[in-house]
Amino acid sequence: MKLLALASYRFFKQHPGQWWMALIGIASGVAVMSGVWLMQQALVGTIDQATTQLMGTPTVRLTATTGELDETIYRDLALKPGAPELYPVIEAMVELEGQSLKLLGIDPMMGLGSNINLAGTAIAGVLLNENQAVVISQSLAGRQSLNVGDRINVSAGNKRAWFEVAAIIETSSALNDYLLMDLATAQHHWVGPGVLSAIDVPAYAFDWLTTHAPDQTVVTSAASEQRRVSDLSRGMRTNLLAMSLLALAVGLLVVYAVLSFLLVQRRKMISLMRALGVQRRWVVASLALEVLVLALLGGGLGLVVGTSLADGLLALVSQPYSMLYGTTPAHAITPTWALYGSLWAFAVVMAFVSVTSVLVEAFRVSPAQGVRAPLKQKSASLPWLWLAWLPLGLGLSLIFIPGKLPMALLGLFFVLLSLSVWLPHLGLQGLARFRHALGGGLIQQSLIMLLSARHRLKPALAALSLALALGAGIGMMVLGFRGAVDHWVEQLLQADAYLTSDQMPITLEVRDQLANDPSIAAISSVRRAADVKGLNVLAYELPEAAWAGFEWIAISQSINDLDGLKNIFERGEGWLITEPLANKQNLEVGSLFTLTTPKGPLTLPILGIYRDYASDQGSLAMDDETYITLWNDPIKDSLGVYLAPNSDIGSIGGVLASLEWDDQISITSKETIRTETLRVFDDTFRISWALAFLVGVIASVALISALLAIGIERGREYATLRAVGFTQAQLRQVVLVQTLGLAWLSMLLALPLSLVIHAVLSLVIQPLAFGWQIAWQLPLAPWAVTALVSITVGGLASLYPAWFISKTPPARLLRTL
Amino acid sequence: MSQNHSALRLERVSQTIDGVRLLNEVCLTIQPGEKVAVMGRSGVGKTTLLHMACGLDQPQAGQVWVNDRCLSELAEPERTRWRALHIGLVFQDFNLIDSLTVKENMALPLWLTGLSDQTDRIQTMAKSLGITALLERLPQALSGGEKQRVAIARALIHEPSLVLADEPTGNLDETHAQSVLDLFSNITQSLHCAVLLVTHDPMAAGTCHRIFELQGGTLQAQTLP
Repeated sequence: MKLLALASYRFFKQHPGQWWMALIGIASGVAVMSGVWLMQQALVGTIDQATTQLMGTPTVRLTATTGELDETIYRDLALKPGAPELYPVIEAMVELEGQSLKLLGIDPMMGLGSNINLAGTAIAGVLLNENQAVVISQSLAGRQSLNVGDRINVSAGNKRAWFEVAAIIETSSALNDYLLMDLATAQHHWVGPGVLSAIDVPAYAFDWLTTHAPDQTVVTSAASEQRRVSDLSRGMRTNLLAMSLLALAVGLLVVYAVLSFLLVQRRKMISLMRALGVQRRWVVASLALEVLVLALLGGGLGLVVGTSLADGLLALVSQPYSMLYGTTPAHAITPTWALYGSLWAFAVVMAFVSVTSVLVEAFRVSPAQGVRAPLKQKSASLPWLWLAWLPLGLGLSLIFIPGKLPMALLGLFFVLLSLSVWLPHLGLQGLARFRHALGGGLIQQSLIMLLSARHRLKPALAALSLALALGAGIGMMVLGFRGAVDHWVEQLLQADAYLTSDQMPITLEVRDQLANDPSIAAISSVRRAADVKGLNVLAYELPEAAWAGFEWIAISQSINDLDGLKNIFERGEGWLITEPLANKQNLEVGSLFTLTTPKGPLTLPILGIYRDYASDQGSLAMDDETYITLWNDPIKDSLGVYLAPNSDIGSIGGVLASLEWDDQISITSKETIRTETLRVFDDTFRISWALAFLVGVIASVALISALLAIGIERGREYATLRAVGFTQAQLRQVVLVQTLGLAWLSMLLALPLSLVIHAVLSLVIQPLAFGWQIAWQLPLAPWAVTALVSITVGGLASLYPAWFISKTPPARLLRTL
Repeated sequence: MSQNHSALRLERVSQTIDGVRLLNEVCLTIQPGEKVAVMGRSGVGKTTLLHMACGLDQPQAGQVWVNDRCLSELAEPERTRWRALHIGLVFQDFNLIDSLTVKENMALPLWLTGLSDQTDRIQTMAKSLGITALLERLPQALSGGEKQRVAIARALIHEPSLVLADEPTGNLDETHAQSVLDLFSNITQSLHCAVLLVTHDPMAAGTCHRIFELQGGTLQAQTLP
């Protein structure tokens, strides 16, 4: 066994390039897999930790269905007999120097349940006595280089304010990204007087609070809040899980390609050893030892790189994440040694799983093969190839199991594995036929030489084409989705401009005064609220022109036309629901839905289902007059203004100025909203682009590694060509044609594979994860990028072998290679 | 050892490859210490016969006995073990392990036969083949003649009872070929090995006790020159 280990050691010593390529291949696969996984863990951990630590497990929370809780509710509750401890809270997402933070206003004398208790401390005194004082964590102070007395400027949208760091405290990690301040300071400088976000009470007071909670409020326990946040972020979690799986698939194939190449290259040596009497199990054991050493070293290196990668990915997603889910994610990866150990062990196990077929092949190497000269290359026999259809069949079955997202992801994994076995086989056959069309010459000869190594090329081709396909497929999905969102926003925004205010409530009077102006033809309005169970409720006032903004998925068959639907909706006799809500709760048009309103349950038929990408939890829309009656809430969140003929958007400013609201109400054009929506979309999908980029990098590493290995291995052939009269330039051309041919082939194979990925992600995974269908689009830009990447990398990969082979004297090559 | 003991016995061995019957009920017995040459045109089945003899391939019909053990009755691991213990192989293109030094190549059969501790054999064998100075070199740094001497050393170091040589001088010039053949003959004789030599070379065949020509799938005895 020592001799076999020595033979392995010497092989790598003689071929240091192959050693490094194998190590880099494994490390890059493990880096992407672990990077995505560590980032996912940090995000998921943040959600669970933040919800638990901030709310405290024994806490119950009272919130308003409209989002803003009137402070008088707190006073009223506090005066009721038997009232428990009440902790008023203000929460808001803000930005400080580009970092998302949570502004947290509390009563310093009360604290926040069992988690923050400042009563009697010097900090409480500071918060109470100093206007605009905030307390921050040591972690935040360190990251932002802040000291006591420093002034900080925070913002959220158009809103800005400054505060002064009054104290720096040590907190639990969940509170690292909070700006802690006095309730009055938060009201004065941020949310407005008399406004609270929530009131927390101890868990034992759940029944008391439920009994005494006024209308338009919701009581939730910490557990249910955790579930809500968990549900909210399910789409994001699923997205990340899918990416982890895809990264794993690429990583496995890269590891497989690298290690199988090493086996194929030494098949003759193995069979010779077998002929001399070395037992199969010893051959397999020595190869397994190589895999173990490579996996341990490459895995370790991959974890180091993966950690940096995870930090980078986290920075990319933290801003859209906090914006979407109202939780500041961890700012850095802090994995435990146990997690590292698990990932390392997983990487080693996966390396062995990926090379199982390689080890089986080594086990089956015949001792007679090596002693026959020349060694015939054994290609996969057809029955074995047919077996590769099995995972395809299994994968497709899993993908189309209705409503099972994890199964669909697993199915995609199987489909990709199966296709990555078949496509290189078909591609090389295609290339073999194509070479006949070239009519002889250098290019044809170069391709013939390349095809003679087809058995060596298949694993590398599989890895390359899968990596390129993932990059292109994810890119196509994101661009397709972006196009769908753009189309949706453009259709949705029918008004000429939209009015919002964070300075004054937009009441019915405001709406009516604006509507009376002759430059305004019509006004639409929306009010966002929630029912008692937390379902998103939209109260719409929709003039005739606004109805064109709906993209209908289904309309109740009992209604003759859209006019009929409008009439029933405006009479408050039916609901409209969004596609995600319909899919998540299996609702159909015509069926009855019960909404738990502040005035009790109300059951009405569903009139129509419409497309909506605003919330993956889904929303229910009702007529605004019905809402005002049920919720007793006349406030609007925004107004849509439809201009009269011959009026322009500037006239709205004049109207507001004449009513002296121009400082308090903001005008936003629909183009600005569209741009902002797409910016948010792009922020949200930065992680997908990052992953597409990463798999592109892996593809490049794998491509360069495979091409270099083939170039080095074929050194003797190149030397023979030189010996028989090829010039250096001709030899360089041969190498270039071969590397570019391989790069082109992997790119061509990646195209159909990327279509499969795009189709499954867009048509199956997205609807299952988020509840919405994406209209099928086929953006071709990712294909162009894939072609560019593969050709550039192919060209670069040819440089070293071309230079080395053409510069080295053929006599030396013939002797040493 | 009984009187009937043989180093190699082929009993009615037949093999058809790609529709061509290369071996047709071939019978051959080689006694310990006996050297037999098999000649024939290219593609006539000489190498196939050799592979049958060492158990690398299994005959479609007939039996192969090495040191009185029927190879086809052995499971693959036992057959491999039997080959390691009793057979030495010499190939036309040397087939040295490129990543092991000359010394390590020679140590390989010792390790396989549980004789790892007998490293003095390496020095003795190297001295008798004139390769002592090459022991620490890797195969790629050797000439063709040197490589073949190392291959012979590796085939004989564990003192097998049967040596199978496939064109051992096929890649050597006449001077080197003669030198290698002399060394090969002397050592196999001193070790009392049975030798089956497959060759085109009448000079190589001339060093053997018996010569056969493989023709039409059968062995036909030739007169010694």
